[in-house]
Amino acid sequence: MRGVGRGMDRLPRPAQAGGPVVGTVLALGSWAAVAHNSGSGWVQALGALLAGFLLVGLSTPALAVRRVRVEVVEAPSDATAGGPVAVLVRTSGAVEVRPLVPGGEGVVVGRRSPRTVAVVPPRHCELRELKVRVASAAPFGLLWWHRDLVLPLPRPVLVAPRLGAPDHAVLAEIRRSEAASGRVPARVGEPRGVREYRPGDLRHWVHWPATAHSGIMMVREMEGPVARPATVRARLPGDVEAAERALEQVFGTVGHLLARGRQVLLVTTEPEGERTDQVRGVQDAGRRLARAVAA
Amino acid sequence: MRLLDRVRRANQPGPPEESVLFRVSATATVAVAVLACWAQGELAAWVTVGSIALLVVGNLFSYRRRANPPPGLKLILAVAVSGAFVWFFVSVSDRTTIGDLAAVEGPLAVLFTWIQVTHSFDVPSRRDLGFSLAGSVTLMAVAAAQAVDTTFGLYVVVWAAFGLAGLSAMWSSMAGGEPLRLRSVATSSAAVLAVGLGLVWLLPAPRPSSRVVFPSSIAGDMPLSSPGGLVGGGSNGSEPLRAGSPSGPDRVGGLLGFAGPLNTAIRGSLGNEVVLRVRADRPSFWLAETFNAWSGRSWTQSNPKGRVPFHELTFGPPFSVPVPSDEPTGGTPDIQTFYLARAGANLIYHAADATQVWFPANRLYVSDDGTMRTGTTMGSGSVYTVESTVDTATPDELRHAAPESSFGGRLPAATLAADTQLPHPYPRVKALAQRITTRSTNTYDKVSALEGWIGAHTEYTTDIPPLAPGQDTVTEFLFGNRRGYCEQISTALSVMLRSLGIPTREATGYVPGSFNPITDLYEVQAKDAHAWVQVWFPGHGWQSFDPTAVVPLANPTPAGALTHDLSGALRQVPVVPVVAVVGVVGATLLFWRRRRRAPRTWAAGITRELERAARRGGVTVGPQDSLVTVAAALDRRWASHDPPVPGALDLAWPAERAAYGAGEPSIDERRALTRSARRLRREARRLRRVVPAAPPTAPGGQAGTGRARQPRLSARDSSHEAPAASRGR
Repeated sequence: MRGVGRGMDRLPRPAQAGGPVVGTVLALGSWAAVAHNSGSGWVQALGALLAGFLLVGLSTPALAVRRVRVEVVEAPSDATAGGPVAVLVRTSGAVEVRPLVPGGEGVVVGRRSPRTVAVVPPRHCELRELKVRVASAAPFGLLWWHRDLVLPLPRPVLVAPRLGAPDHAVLAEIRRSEAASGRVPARVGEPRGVREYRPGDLRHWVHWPATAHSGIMMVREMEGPVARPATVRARLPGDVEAAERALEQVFGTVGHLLARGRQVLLVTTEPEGERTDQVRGVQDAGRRLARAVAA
Repeated sequence: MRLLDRVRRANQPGPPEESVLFRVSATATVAVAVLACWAQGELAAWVTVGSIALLVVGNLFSYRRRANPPPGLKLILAVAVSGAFVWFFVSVSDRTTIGDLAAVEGPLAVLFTWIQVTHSFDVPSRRDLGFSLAGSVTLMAVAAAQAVDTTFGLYVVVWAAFGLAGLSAMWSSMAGGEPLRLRSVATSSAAVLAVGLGLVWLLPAPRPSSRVVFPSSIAGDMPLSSPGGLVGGGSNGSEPLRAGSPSGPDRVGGLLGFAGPLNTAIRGSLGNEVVLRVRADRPSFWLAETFNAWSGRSWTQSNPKGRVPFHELTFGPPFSVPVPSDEPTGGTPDIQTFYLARAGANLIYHAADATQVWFPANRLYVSDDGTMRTGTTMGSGSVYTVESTVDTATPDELRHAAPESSFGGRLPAATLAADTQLPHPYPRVKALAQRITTRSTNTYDKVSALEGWIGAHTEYTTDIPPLAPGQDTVTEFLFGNRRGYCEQISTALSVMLRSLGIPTREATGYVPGSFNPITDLYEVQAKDAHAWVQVWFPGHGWQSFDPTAVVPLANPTPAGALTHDLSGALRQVPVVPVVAVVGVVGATLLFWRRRRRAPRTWAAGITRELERAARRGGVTVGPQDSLVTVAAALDRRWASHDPPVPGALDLAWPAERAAYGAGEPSIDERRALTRSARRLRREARRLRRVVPAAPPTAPGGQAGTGRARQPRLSARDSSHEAPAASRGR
């Protein structure tokens, strides 16, 4: 489904109109004075034509902006805060589309083909709509008029927080709790130490430095993950920036754990309420955190 | 420091402009403006050609070096422009007087052209090209200040077209190379034109200001062999103005009416060519000569013994025209500027009583009756300005003018005798005039009564035979065929008034001509030559009466003139052919539209008919509803109708089956289905009234056929799908 932008401003507004309007008034005023005093009808007729150019050039962009239809035809499903999100925008006429919320660089979109507009969400969010400023100076480029529109996105963009440094306190806590619960010896997993060789051990388990050091064939001893996944809680403070930093840290922590093959149970507060779910990967974690709100 | 930064920032070169169309349009706009100045005589031909060549070279250079303009170029160009300004001020101070705008315009055109030429070497960015476009406006303004005819419109149209293309290309470039849309450009052009015409319509016509020196120039001037004499043409200063060709008196070879005598016996035809243009505050008769001696066939200006026929005015310009002692002073000042489009008589035209004349010569000649002549021939392109005083007496004021008995006290006896002179008593004319004016108690009413009688009993035509030898013009006109043109009509009125003892004189000149709302000039054609009557009113002087056209002159406004021209043009439109063409074009368009919209297959036709029937029957059709769903809803809608309505589903199923390749009915079946669908559509509105009202039915609401399982068969869908099925069989 594509959403056509709905207007926030009822009427378009001129941008930096002082110069062009004052210039036009002065030009036409002085022209009228010259035409009147020269007594030449052609000067007056030419002035009328010039006035036509100026008035049409100054006012028509308002109509163009008022009538233009803007829609987002494509948007990614995932993004990261602070990174560009490329949305494909289509318009019914040539206008400049400048993202306001989230911000971004203005792009002139022609009527023939959609163009990519890059928006940069500063924080995590579930982006359902864009607020853009649509501006035009058609047909003569004399004065820009603009109007703010809200463009619904064809699908929500889940903006994950930046991947921050893992919270070592949380990691330590997890390790403590896991140590308490014990780990399961396993043939594969994380190395937990070395032990003497036993028949049946694989050749590539041999730990040569320890063997050399002790003079006894030593092999790596592995331990598997605990049966209970690590639980990470995303608790967001009220302050927006602090919440963002906290989320970045949570994301870093989750990423750290996932990179080590750990199962992670992420506890977040979403608009619908608290959610506790195991995350299947970094992308999934990012999506979960994108929807996280302060409790 | 902040200001310095701002200045520096403002002067930073913008990004190089890549649009070739914008660059070409801007160059062409400036070139057309330069050509317009040349056409108005403000630039020499070699300057024009050189400037345009340099403009092209400069713009090519700028385009090639747009990304890296040569360092120091701006400095060189600034020096060149400064030099041009110095040249301009030196030339202007040498040749002009304060307020003489006309003398400034030539150097101004050269200066503006030079600025454009130098600027063309440094137009790398969009802003620079925009300046070129704006600069062309000043050049056009300088040219427009000198333009007096509509041929300048050609330059304006071409200039505006290039300007429009340039501005549109500028926006296109701003919009990242968005291609120009013909529709958008056409709409913009129409809007600009509409606003321009609207302003021309609404704004009052410009009037010359008294704070500037009035335009005057002389062209094709040659000294006359007889100072104060009357000559025509301008080709030969010694050739006297003649009223008839050497081949005979029945054809006009010279300038009709503007000769020593006004011979009413000869006939001629006048052309449509514009002979002069007049800028004036109000329309008037442009007076050339007056005559007071009537011979029965010709008018001449009497020259009483001992009086100098012409006074020589030597102090000017401006020349102050002496007011005759018998003329009342005062009145509304009126300024007229005459632009001669053709070589003409060496007469100075004017409205009412001239008081001052701006004419670039050493002397002028003025007769007692106010007729003015120049000392040189008057070629095409001569310009002069006259200030007149117009006595704007109302009819009531003229009615209450002093009685006729006091004429003697107001006009000198010799003048009174000359202005009431008749070659013979005209008893029948006098009896007729007395009979017509029996109930009139004052001069004005008598004039009006005689004008009314002439208007009611005579016919205007230029197709009258030459006056036979020995015949009297007035007698023949009033008691003969009663047909004639301005000379016969005005002479008849003049003689009738003189027979009543009222002083009159015959005046010749031009009627105001047609008012051009663009140039704000009255364009006077040769056929506008006219003769009318001037009647003496004590206290008001000579008042003009035109018995040929008793309808008073209206003071035209641009809006009025445009309306008049438009209505005139509309009247010229041949109604029947135009209606026929419009009808044929309309029918063709209608046929084409119907054909374009016609369903391509019978299934699509049935779909359309059912959808229309649904709309008329009050069934809401959603975008996801299939045809069968809609048909089911229609059947439910009319289920209670007695007798039963043909089932819409019976129509929808075959159409859907055919569209999706499940079977194609025979031709007869298809026709029958189509007929039924049309009947259903026609009856839908009636059924909506007949069947008890129900809330609008949604097709999918209770339909047995689920909307998900039934793909919607729209007219467009079926047109794509059904043909394959139908063609396959």
